[in-house]
Amino acid sequence: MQKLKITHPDSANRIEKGIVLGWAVLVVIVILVAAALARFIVGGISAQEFASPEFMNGAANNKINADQFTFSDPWVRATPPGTMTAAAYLSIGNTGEEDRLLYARSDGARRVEIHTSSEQDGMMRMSRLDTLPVPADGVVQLTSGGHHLMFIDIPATFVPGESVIVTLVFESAGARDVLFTVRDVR
Amino acid sequence: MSTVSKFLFVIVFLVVGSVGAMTARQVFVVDESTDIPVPEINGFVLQQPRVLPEFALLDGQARAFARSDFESAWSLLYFGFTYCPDICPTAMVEMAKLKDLLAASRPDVAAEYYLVSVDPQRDTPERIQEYVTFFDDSFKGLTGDLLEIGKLAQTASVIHVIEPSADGASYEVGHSSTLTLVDPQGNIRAIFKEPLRASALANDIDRVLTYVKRVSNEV
Repeated sequence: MQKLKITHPDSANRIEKGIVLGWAVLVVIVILVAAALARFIVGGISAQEFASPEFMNGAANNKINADQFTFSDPWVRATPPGTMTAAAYLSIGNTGEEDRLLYARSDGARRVEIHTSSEQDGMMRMSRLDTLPVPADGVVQLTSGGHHLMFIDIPATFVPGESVIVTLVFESAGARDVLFTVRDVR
Repeated sequence: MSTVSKFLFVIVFLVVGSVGAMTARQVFVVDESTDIPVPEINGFVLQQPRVLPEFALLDGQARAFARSDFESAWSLLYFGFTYCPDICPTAMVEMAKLKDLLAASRPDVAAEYYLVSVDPQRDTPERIQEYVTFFDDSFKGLTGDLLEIGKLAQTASVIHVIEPSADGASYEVGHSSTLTLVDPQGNIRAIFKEPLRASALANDIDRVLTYVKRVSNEV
């Protein structure tokens, strides 16, 4: 080094320039990395804090779609005038853990019970179930002639095309509101 | 005895038993009165028509309805109740479809369709009239004293019970879900079982009517 400095001052000058340039490149890289990091962090915050209402609704819908339950074809049998009872049907798909339907309620009836129709001793009997098991990764079907929700003391007849909200309360998963459509099967 | 020979023994026993039963059936049953074959239906064809007893009921207009009121047309009777949300409306819907099918396939048979209440406490004439005509304008309802209903139900082999519900606040009704075919002389000719489906019923009723006609021509 000594030898280079003394004998070739020009060369020494070029080495100094090289060092300065090296530093400059390093600083630029650091600034770019910092900027990229800052952009990443700020971007992350903005997604959460400046989300539009539409975005939030979308997120909420995604959450419902991700529910362990799917409620297929919920319908209520249209009732003859003066009738006090009605039956409602649907199928409940469950991708989650085993659960149990504890009870159901609706503004469409004073009371909603879980019932099952079955043949016993040569008679069709309707009996109330305390709970309805919903198997893990399975489907439980409420269909005519089998399990159904029985609406007791309905304030008004169910007219085709109308709909009624029924709240289904599960032991583990909690409550779900399901919209049932009134259907005339005559 | 080894497991295999036990198994073989059971098989031989079943085969011999079945053959024996079939032979006995041919010897003792088929030759009873006529060689007109009884149609196989989802239910029972009564080879000996069952005579309805005298009874006193009310129709949907609260008019007296007696056995003689069945004597003019073929009748189909369903025993049920209007408070029933699942089984009975399903049966009524099938009965309405059946009416249309029979009107097309057997226009010679203008049948009357009845819902006979097994829950007269709730089913007043007005109530049952409102209920049956929802399914078809021509449908008729019968109600009245439970003992009188019981006479008709018993002859139709319909069992029905009224029991207090588990909470004691109400009561539950159970009943046989069958369709009873009554001829224009007031005799039961056939009883159809669940599943009561219009197309199968129309087919079965057609065969019973043909059978009844052949038997009565022979007599």
